[in-house]
Amino acid sequence: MKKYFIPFIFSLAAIMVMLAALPVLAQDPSMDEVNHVARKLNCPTCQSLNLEDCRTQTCDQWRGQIKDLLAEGYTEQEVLDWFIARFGVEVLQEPPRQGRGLFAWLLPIVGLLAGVSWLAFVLRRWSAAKPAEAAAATALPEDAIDDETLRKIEEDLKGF
Amino acid sequence: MPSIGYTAQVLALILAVYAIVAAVLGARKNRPDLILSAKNASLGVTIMLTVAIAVMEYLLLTQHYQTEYVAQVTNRDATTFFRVAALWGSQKGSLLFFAWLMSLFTGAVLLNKWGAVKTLIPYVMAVMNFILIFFVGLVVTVANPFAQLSFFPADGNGLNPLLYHWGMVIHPPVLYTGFVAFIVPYAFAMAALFTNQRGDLWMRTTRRWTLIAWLFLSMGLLLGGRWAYDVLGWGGYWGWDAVENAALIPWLVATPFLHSVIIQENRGMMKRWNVGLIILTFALVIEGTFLTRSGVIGSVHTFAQSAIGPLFLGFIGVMFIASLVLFVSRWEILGSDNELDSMFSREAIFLLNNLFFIGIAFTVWWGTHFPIISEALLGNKIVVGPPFFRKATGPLFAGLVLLMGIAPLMPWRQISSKKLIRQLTLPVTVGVMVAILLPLFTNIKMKGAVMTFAFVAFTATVTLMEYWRGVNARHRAHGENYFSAMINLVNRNRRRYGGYLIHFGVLFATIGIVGMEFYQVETQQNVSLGESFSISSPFTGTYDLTFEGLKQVPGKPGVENTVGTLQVSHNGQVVDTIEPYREFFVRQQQPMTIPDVHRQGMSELYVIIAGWEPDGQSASFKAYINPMINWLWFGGIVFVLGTLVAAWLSTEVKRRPVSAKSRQGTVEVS
Repeated sequence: MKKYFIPFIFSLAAIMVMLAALPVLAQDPSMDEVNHVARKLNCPTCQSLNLEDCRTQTCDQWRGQIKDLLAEGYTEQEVLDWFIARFGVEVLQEPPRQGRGLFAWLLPIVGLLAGVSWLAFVLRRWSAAKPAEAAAATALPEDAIDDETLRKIEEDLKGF
Repeated sequence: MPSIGYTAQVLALILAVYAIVAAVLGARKNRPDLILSAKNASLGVTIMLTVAIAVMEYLLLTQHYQTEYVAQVTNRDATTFFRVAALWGSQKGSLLFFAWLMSLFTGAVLLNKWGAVKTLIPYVMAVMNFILIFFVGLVVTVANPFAQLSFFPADGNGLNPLLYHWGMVIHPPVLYTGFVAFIVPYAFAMAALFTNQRGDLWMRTTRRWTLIAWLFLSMGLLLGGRWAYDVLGWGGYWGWDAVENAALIPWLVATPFLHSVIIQENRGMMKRWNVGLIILTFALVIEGTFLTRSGVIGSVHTFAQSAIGPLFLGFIGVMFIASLVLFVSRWEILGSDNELDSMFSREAIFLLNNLFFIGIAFTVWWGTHFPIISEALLGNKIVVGPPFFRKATGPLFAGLVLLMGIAPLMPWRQISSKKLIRQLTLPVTVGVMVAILLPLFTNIKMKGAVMTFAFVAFTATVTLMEYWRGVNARHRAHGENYFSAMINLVNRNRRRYGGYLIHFGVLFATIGIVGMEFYQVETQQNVSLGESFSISSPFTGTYDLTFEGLKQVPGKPGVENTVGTLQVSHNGQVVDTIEPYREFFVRQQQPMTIPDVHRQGMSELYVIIAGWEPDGQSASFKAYINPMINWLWFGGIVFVLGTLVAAWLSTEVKRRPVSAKSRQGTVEVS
């Protein structure tokens, strides 16, 4: 009996896997699966909406197309590629991170880096200017007077 | 009647041109009579545009369909309310409305007594009228809302269905007010440059105007988000749509401006930066108006593509270049009085905050314009959708939440490391605790969400400490009880403590945004009568929705409503019945899907009807669970309250005559 145990478990597992897979193979893709792909595409008519959220007829047909492709066994990426092949990369909600789409991603990063280096430059220039004075300022006993009081005093003094 | 409106527009244009000439001549030749004449002419512009608006409203209310614009935006079915609001329902009317709002601000500025800054006023008038001329020029020439048809149509087309919502009625005027009000700080900054002033007088005197402009812009954004959530039916509040972005970008530049002026006021630094920021803000305001009006970038908001595009571009170019030339020519005057003492100072943190804001603004601008830029330079149009904006700006926004907590801890000039560590102990502990405990005991486990919440906790602690320190100090020093100490504290320095309230608003809103961005779940299901489907989220538990029927009900005039009824059970118990519906605007052949929601604490179940079989036996619904979404709206309210506190006439402003006088020493008039 014992020697049949392992093959038995294996075949049981195999049957379960097959049973689990069966409905997937037989059934149409669910609306959620279609939406999951549609979310990554643009609505062809209204531009600013994604295909999932658009309620026009054209978008309905496009979602139908996605459903058909998924039913034929296309993977998500294959469906996207199918649309790109027909309508160009502009059907994608997110620009591709290669080729021309890369520009979209790169410039903000370059801009930010430029900003950071500018900031570093300014800070260095400013802080290098006066180490002596800074030292003098630190020499003040801490908490001798709090910011708020100091500000008030200064403000009141302005009146004179 | 329409000819009266048109004549008023033409007169406004002539008066505006005259006002510029008289104001500049008056200032150069030192002729008070000419300046007074310019002032009266400017007020005349406001009056003439008011007449034009009144005529337009009269035409809209009396259904004068021979006026093309009236026929375009109203019809017999429209209620009085929507007739009035139709003024800004389409391009031509909204341009007139925009010009009128702007003229109200110029009028208000001129009726104010300016005292110390009187020398600026002629140039302020000239700048304001220069901007006005462009908009009035548009409605006089290529976008005349009073244009007549050669026949008298029996009925009009009616307003765009998207606009039939209270939020859409309030949203444009609020947003426009925010836009146009920035003309005040801009005009004062330009006038200060013209007159070679190096002080911060222009900034101080327009401080409240700027805050009010910012308040309206913020409210416009919030209302727009709320409208999208209530009406557009895609389960969200922000779609990174070109026109939404067009309103966000100026806000992203105006916000660091509001912060960096504080540096200039306290430390006499960043003068160039501030002038640059206000020029940029206003240029972006005009550019945003251009994006909305010209239709260069597709959007749900876009009005018809038209001839005004090139004119707008030309104007933006002229305005921007002229401002820059003036700015650069005064470069030396705008040098800093002080230099940065330390990296660990409020100035340095504010600089970083500015950098983050500008970084986000640039990213959003770039993404919004990328379709045009890629088409022009690379040959094919690459669309940049929400995923790009989320990924590119999300981390920067999270960084801003953190900075919002660090800045108040830093005093001006510098802080010793010992003191800094002592200040940081409590907030850092709270933040770290949140970062450790959240993933252990709650469903919030995603790294980005946990980190953002830790930042929120850190910053909230710092902000509370700030209030506590102030209140406690007053309590000890003046013997006030904690409540009146709080009131007095805020009263004494409304900008500061109002500002902290705004920060709290942002923190609350952040909670809602994180909930939506990281944990929104959705499902779409087709169900037959009596059938159920379920949706669940760890934040709310499981909802079962049972389809109980579909009915056609008469909606607003000219609209057919199809209502789906769903029974909502929460964890097995019936809690609600919701009725999402679809409006179908027969004349325009346009559908709108209006969601219905079931609230559970701060979270919401949000359902729309996506489609149905003609026999009504089955329908498909889309359901979302929006965790913590109501924190966003609550945060918005706190945010607006905080801004009102900060903008309210404070004792600080009342004291201004004294401090303004003492500061005149730094003003050089050449």
